[in-house]
Amino acid sequence: MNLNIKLKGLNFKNPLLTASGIFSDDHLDFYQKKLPYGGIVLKTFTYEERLGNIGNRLLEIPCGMMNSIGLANPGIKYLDMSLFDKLKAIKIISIAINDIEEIALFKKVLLKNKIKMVELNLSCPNIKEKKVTNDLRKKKELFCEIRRELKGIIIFAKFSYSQVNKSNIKIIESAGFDGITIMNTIPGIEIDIDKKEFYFNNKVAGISGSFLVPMGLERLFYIKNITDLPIMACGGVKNYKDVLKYIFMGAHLVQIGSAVFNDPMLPVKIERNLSSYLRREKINDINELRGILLK
Amino acid sequence: MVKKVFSAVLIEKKRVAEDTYLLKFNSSISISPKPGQFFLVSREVNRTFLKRPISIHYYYADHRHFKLLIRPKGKGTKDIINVKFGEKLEFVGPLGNGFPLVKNKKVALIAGGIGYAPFAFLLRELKNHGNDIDVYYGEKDKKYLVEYWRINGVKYNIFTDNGSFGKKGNPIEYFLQGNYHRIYLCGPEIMYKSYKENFPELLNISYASFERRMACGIGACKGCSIMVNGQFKYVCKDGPVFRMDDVEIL
Repeated sequence: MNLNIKLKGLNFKNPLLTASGIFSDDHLDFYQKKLPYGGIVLKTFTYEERLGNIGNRLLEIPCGMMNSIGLANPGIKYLDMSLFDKLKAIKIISIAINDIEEIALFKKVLLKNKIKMVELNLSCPNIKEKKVTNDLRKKKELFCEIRRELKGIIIFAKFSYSQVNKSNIKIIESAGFDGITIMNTIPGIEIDIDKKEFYFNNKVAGISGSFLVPMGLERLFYIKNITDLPIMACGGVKNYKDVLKYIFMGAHLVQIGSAVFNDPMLPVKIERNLSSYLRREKINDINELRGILLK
Repeated sequence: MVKKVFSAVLIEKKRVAEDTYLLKFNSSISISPKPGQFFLVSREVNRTFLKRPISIHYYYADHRHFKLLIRPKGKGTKDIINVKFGEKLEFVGPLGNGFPLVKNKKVALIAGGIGYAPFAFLLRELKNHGNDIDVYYGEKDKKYLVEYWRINGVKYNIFTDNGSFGKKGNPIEYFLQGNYHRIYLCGPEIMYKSYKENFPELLNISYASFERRMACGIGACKGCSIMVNGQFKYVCKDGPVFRMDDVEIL
C-alpha cells in the first residue's frame, strides 16, 4: 500500500503533516524516534521575537478549543533545525513576513538551514497590531518579492476561511506561489459573564476543533474550482476519515492540529487506518484517491 | 523519565473528604515520576477535547501504582472522578519538573485546599531523604480536610477558615519563619500572593507549583504561559514548580 506523496520534487512518506504550532521535539518521546508524519510544519517564525499575548491563551469549548497565543516565537534568526536533523520527514517552516525589508533575513536563515518548503502565514487571528486582511491585493508586491527572493524554496500561502475568494487565489497564483494551505483557525470571541469582560485579552481568538472539517471541505471545493494549485488541507482532523475526505476533495497533504493535544498517538493511528482502508478498498496507491469527487 | 502515552486501570476510588476523591490506578507500563510532576488525563471514550493536568498525589515504588487526589471543578475533572472500577483512563506523562528535593534539612510544606494533592508523594520523598518536616495545611472547613495521610515524626499544623478544626485562619497568617532551608507551596495563587507580601525574604528558598489551562503538556503550543523573570515561560514544560522570587504572581 503506497501512502507516499510526491509534491514539487519532495517525497512525503505519507500525507500527514503537523499543523503549525502543535509540534515539539518532545513528541519524539511518544513516537520512540519513529515519526508518524510525512512532514512537520513548525510554529510560525516572525522577523523579530514575539513574546506572545498576555492573559488567558487557551479555552476548551464544546467540540474544540480557542487559542490566543499570538505567534510566540524567538524570531527567525534563532531558527535551529539541529533538533530535527535526524527526522526522516520533510521540514516545513511557517513564516509570517510583513514587510519587504524583512525578506533578506528570512532568506539567509532558511538557506542556511537548508529549508526546502515554507508556509507563509497570512492569516493568524491572534496578532493585535497586524489585523488579518481579507483582501490581499495590497500585498501583491510583497508576495512577488518573497517569491523572487526565496527562489528554489516551495511556498504555500496559508489562508483563513474568509480569505478564500477568487481574487486572493489569483493573486497567489500569479505571484508564482506553489500552493495554498486551507485553513487557519476561525476568529471568535468568548465573554466572561461574571467579570463582564472579554475572556481573551486580545478580544478575538482562534477557534479550532472537529466541526471545522465540513467548512474546510467546502473551501477546498471552492478553491479547486478556481485553481489547480496543490493544497495542504488543515482544519478539524480527528481521524483517518477526515484525512480521506480532504484527499477526495483534492488535497495533496493534510495537517493534523489540536486533536493531537488530547491524543499524541493520533497520527500513528491515522497512518495505520489509512493503510487498512486502502487494503479494504483494494487500492494500491493513496494518490489514486486525490480529487475523486472533483471529477 | 521519558514522557509516554499510556493507559491505567482504576482499581480503587474513595471519597476522602467533602467533594474530594482519591483514585488509585494500575499503569500498563512502568513509570518513574518525581514529586510535583503531573499527568495529562482523560477518559479513553467520550473524552474531553483537551486532557486535564492532574498532579501525582502518591506513587508506589513498584513503578505501576499511583494515586490522584481530585476535587472536581469542571467537566474534565468530573469525568475523571466518575470513572468506574476497571475502566481505563489515558495518561500522558509524567510531565514538567517536580519539586527540587533536599537532604537532611529542615523544610516546610504549605498547602491551601486541594493544593495538598502533590504533597503525599513529596512528603514521603522528603522523609526518605532524612528531612525534618513541618506541614501547614489550610482548608475552608474541616469537612474538606484530607487527613488520611499522616507520617510519624512530621509536625502538622492545621487551619480552617471558619475555625471548625485546628486554628481559625489560613496557613500564611500563622506561618513561622523558623530556620527552614526550603519551603514548598501548593495552593491557589492568592495564597502565593499573600505569602509573597508577608515573607519577601523567603522567596529565594520557596518553591511553588502553578496551574494554568493547558493543551499539549510539552511546551509546543505555548498556551500555559507564566511570566518568569520578565519572560514568558510555560507551566507544562518549565514548571509547574517555580522558585517564587522569579515568578510574577497574578
